[in-house]
Amino acid sequence: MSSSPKQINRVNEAAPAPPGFAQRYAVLLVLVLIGTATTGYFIGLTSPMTASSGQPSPTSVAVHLAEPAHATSKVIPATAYADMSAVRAQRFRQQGLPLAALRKQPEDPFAEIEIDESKKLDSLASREEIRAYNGAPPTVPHPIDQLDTAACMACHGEGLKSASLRASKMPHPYYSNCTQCHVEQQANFVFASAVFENSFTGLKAPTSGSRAYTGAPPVIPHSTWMRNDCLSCHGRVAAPGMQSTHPWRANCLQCHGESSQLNQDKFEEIPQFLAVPVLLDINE
Amino acid sequence: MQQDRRSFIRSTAMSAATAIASGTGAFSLPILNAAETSSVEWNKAPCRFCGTGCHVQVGVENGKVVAVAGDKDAEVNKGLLCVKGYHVGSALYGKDRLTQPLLRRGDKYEEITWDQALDVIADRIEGAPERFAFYGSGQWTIPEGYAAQKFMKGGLANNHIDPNARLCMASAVTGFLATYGVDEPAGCYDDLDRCDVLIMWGNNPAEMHPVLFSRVIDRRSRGEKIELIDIGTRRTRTTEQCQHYLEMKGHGDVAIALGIAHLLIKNDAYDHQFVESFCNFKSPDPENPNLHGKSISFEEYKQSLEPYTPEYVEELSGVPAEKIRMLADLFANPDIRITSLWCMGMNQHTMGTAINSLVHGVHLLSGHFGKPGDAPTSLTGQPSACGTVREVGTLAHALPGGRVVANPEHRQQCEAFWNLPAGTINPQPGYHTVEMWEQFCTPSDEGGDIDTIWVQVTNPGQTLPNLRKLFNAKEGLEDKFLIVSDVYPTATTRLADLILPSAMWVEKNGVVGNSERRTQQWFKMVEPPGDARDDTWQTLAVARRLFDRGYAGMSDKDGRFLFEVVDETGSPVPAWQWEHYYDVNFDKHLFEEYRQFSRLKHKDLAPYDEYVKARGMRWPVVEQPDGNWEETRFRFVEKDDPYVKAGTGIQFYHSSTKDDRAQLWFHPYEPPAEVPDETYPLMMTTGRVLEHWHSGSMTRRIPELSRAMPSAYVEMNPDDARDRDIRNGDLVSIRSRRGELQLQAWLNGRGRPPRGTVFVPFFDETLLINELTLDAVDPFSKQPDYKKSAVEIVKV
Repeated sequence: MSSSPKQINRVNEAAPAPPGFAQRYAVLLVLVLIGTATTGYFIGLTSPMTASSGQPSPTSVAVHLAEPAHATSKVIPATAYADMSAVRAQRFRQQGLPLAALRKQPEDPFAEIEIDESKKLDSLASREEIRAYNGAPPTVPHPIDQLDTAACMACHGEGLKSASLRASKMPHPYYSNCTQCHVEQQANFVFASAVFENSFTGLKAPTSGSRAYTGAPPVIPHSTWMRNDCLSCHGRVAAPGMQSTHPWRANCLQCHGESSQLNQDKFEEIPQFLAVPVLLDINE
Repeated sequence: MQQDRRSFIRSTAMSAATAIASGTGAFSLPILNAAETSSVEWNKAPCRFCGTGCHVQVGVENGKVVAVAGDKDAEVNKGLLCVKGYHVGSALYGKDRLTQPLLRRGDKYEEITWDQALDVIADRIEGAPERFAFYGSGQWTIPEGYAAQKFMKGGLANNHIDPNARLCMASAVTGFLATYGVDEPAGCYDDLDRCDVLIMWGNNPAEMHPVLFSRVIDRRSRGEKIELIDIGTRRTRTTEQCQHYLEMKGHGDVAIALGIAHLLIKNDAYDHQFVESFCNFKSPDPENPNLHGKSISFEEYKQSLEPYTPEYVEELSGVPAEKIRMLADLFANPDIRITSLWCMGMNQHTMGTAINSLVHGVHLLSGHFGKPGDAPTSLTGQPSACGTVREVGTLAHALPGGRVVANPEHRQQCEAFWNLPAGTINPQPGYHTVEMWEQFCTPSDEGGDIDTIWVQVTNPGQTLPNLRKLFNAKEGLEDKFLIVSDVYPTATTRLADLILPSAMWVEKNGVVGNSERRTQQWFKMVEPPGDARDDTWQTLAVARRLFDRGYAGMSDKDGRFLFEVVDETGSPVPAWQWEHYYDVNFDKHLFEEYRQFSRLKHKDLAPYDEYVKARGMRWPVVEQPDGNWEETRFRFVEKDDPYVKAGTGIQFYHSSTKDDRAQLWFHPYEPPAEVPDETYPLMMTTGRVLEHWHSGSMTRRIPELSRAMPSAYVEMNPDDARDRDIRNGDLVSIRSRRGELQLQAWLNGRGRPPRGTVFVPFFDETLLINELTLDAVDPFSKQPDYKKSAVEIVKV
């Protein structure tokens, strides 16, 4: 068809604006931007979020809780939206992350992963800090939406990992009431009216699964109940040192055995049922 | 001993199981020897907290609870728990556990021995047994409640025993009695797996019964369609999961139920066959207000409903008329299954008996009853409100097994079971909760005729309504004496004269009964701290002290101790001595004795050992010809309930009219006892939050829970806040006719009340909202209304 190149040319010819036109619009745009920013700033100043004297900031809450939750936590506490930009800038400064680093090439999905044992222990320690015991639902290290649980899925549905943040993947996607088990590590809205001490010592997490011999695949040292998506914790969004060396292999239980005792499987429950004799009539 | 024996059985059984699995005793898999888990012993127990009755697996290491897991074999929760359940183990280890009996000397406490403490109590009782009262709990285990019941009504011939459950589900009881002639739900949690529509009447199960709520909404994740309807006074986490939110004013539920019945009749959409076969009609009898009311004809019933048009209901309740029509259309549809759930919203209500009866009535009228998924089901808030209070009957008017003190036959039966001389039991009902505390807080010379109250397993200093009148007024009354058995210092121990340290949860044996008639048992797994001891033992030891002093009531008619337990050789075990208490399973002895009472109302319980094997069983549990004990899921329904006559389909065999029919009630709408006015323009409701349970005495000591919810607050509508120049987080003063309290305001927070309504949770012992609540009670159940107090709020 001979007419189409002409049409394209016509479109191209129409695109360049007359000189001066772009400049005028640029000035207008800048003015609008400055105006919006200034108005926004003053609205911001008078809004309840910042103007209220009674509203505790996240730091003042921490002060009022006698025992700041997990002061040594490796988990990065999430930030109120109001403080977001300041904190983000600070975090980049602290970690010496140039913005250019974010433009890294995507990882090779089949690259062999080396496990750093000390990083694994660090990760286990920070894991422990947000749980009462191994097997307890982790507390949430950031403010949550008090009513809606759908927001949880945005980050934790598939899990995500950036240069500075990691959102773990939910290992049990079929439960729909997240806040039933996962509560904020620290409330953001009120002062603690009293603080009670508690001496509960929780069950420690195992540091590794046992192997039948050197080189054998380790057995799973924890219950797989509600943790049936192995890649939630051992996949690409895993904490440092917790990854599988071979996350592309999809059938974990092919090589890694589960513990029927930890999984509360029936035959371990025999003491509860011993008194009922099960008599089988072969002739029936 | 017990522990060792059980561990032994367990390990023997386990090796047997391994042998079976592998075919040889010599072969062992490395997996079972994983070093990390070998020292933890796991055992079953129902959760300590709410009435749902989830089973947990408790992990014990070196004599301490170290972990908790949802029990996968438990039908109630199927391996899932809520955040409280997962952290229930920490409740044992608050640093300020009470470990020694404490006696008040002026404004200080002196540590005393148990022996001294028993003498103090015995002295108080002997001095004036008729002025002594026992205030118990829906957290009492069944043996604890049964021991207290027998001690009071059998031993002291004194009926002043009432539980905190009076504040919690008394109106549910009167609703069931008025309708079916016998207490407790006909349906069970299985209905939640089958219903197409779930209506929550003033109920927030997403926070209060989360495991049950998940049981419903997780069905959606599996692709099922369920319609959820929230009828409430504020937006909650439950609302967010519901297709319909019907926002009502106080007592709007009464109007809504009447409106549905009105439309079912007007549209001729009620279930003719069900109503003609199984129902009578009743209305309250103003001459003689009781649960029998007066019989009315269907015509009279129809006429009474005439005024409750959708438009009039909208006026009364604030719910749009079209939503009332929507509800009526759902009930008119025989092809769907409808379950109603309710808890404190309908029970803490000055029309509590009425609204309970009306909701049962809507289900009966529409025939949405008796099929799986078609059920009016009331939930309980405490782990054994059903088991201990409703079944053991630890109420001022009741005797075990659905009996009442006013009935001579019932008294006679109890005297026979207890081997007491005829005429021992007092026929006059004792004081119900509100009366009991009113009498206690009234000076003796002004007629207050209760001198001593013994409180076990509850916290009235925080949970009674109108605290200044019903609790705080005790302060300074020299001749009044308060005994408190508890595990932590509480708002109640503030005014206690004698504090007794108690064992809790898996520090003792126990049996409880949950909301769906399920009786659950557990064994002691760890030692209580210091000198803390079982509540049953405390009651037993006081009884024995009185017996030793020659108090006649503590012997049966053959002169034997009321709580005598004999060993295999037939000689009495001195279980009242703490070091011998666990020589026998005292719980089992009490339970086996109590079990005999359960037949009268067909709430048959199985032998104790059956519950050891199960994750609870729902009564009636009936022995089968093959020797197995079988539970009942749906009561009054043929094929499921063994007591229903074949061919009847449905039989209300405890009908109060003795004709196997349920009573379908009409109650006219009445406004709340207190309505907002110019001085107090806001309506305050109170309640719980997900993280805290009851008065918070346990959950406040669990770091994960208290950090997530560190203090009470007042939820306000942003418009009401703006009118008062209140911003999020501001300290405000909330005032009612009865008291004043300063709290932080929370706007757009956990719950979102409409304009004119505020909400305050009651878990915080430093911010006692019950100093503001109203002490008006339901005329039948005597349960107070905590949900509708008029208040005003000003910025501080």
